[in-house]
Amino acid sequence: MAILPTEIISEILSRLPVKSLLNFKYVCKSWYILIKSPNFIKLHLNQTLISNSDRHLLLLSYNRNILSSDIDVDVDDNHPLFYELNHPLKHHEIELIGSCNGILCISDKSKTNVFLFNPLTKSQRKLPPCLKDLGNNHHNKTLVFGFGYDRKNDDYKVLRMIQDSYYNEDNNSEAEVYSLRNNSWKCVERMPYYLLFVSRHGVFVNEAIHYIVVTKELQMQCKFIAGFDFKTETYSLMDCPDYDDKLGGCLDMGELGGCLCLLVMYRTLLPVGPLEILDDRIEFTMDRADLWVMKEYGKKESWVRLFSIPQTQTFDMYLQVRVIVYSKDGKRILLEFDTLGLGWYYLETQSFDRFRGLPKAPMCSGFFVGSLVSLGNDKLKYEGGSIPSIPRKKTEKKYLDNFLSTGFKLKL
Amino acid sequence: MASSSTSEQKKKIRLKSADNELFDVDEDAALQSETIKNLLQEISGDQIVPLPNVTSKILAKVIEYCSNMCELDPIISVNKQWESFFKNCDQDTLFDTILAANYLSIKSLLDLTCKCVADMMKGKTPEEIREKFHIVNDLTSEEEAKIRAEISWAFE
Repeated sequence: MAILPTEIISEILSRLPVKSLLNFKYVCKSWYILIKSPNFIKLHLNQTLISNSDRHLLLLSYNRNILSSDIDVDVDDNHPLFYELNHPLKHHEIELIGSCNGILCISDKSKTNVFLFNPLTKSQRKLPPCLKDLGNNHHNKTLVFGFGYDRKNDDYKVLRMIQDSYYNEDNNSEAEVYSLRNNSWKCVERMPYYLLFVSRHGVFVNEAIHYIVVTKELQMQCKFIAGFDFKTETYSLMDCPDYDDKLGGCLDMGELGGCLCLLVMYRTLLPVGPLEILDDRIEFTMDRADLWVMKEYGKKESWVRLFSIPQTQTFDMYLQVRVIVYSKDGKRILLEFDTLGLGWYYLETQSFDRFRGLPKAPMCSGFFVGSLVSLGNDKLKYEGGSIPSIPRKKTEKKYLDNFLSTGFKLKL
Repeated sequence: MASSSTSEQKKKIRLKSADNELFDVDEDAALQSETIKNLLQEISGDQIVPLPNVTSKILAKVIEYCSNMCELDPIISVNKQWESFFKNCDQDTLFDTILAANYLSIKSLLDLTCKCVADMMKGKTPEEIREKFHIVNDLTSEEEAKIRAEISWAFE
């Protein structure tokens, strides 16, 4: 009987999902030490990212919980099985700032309590108070975050930017960066552009965090993508693709397969009925959505239009579409629409297969990979108290009762 | 396979297994192993390459794999066939192939075999894993309690 050396055990274990590894800490002392070691954690993360495995879908519903499900389940892809994720901002309305290497960055609605946490290992870190206060005029200020990883310094960082809610000539914006390594905030140079679409946090690609901006003159037909590099702490400017109708197209930026992508949504104003009083409410509907991907980072000529959905309403998409993630085989893209639905868009057949069994409430979706990355602040409160039993063969997903009551079919 | 240059014969490398069996292998297949590549630089071209850590049974499989990888078939379908072979072979063959792939430094084979073992382990209990890997549980009950606390679910 062959005995495998530690280096091979480590190669094998690095190909397992986090859930299995947490369980295999009980196998023996040397496995426990191996699975906890920083080198193994890195090896495992790299392996997971390369093989594109252990990916989890996230749903932040407005009723304050976070739901998760495996993205890559083979059976019945359009009927995912959700379970509730425990998180440090229980009983708060939560915003997802970003997800990177298995770490989520979330905040409450006030954006004062910000947490990093690993949803699978429960490792967590509450960010210390930031340096720049919004002060009394918080109504006139907008707050935007961005979360990512600085490979060179092996550090997780959060960018926090404040800008005036209304454009004015003198740029009063401010910026600061949190570093997990130092566990502190530090002021950085302010962004020299004006952020648009501020309801979206930054998009992390290629070690930089990105936003859609206009330059000083506030020319709305001339939008750019600004990047903040976590390593050099400098800003750069990139061109958007040459999409039609620069003024009318509404943009949403995302990440797809490690590339920046841009959804351009074309909307029509709906005529208001003759008897209705005109107010500042705008009624519109989306009739086309194009997805552009920047294949080579920073190169304008590498933007390609990956798909165009000419009549979005035939797919029940009325107001907006967001890009979540590629399927494992790269043939489908997970789309969120109108903050209510999700589904796979098939690139080849240009068809759309929507998920069933989703909560009937507005939500925000995202995804994360399973990792053992620790935030160095793990709770070790094993003295006293009740001890939960060792996890056995069956996984301990907490299925949601309220899902079942809304006609959700549980598949085992 | 039809080839435009008919005159040239493929160069063969002669390998010797731990149990002294000789194998004549196409050079391009043999060179998939970094270890053989390095050994060939040390010894003169016509000598036999000794591989004292690999039995003939396993070496035959490894050579078959390397030859397959050199063929023109799409790598993906070749990989799929081997994956199903390793998933269905006995554990000793699988583990010995891992050790051989590691010793011979054939990255793609090591990747594939490690993945097969990992897939086999998914959903197993710690006890089942100990049995499979012939591991004795040396954790004390205090240590087990500590691990339980580390992976406990509560945030507050």
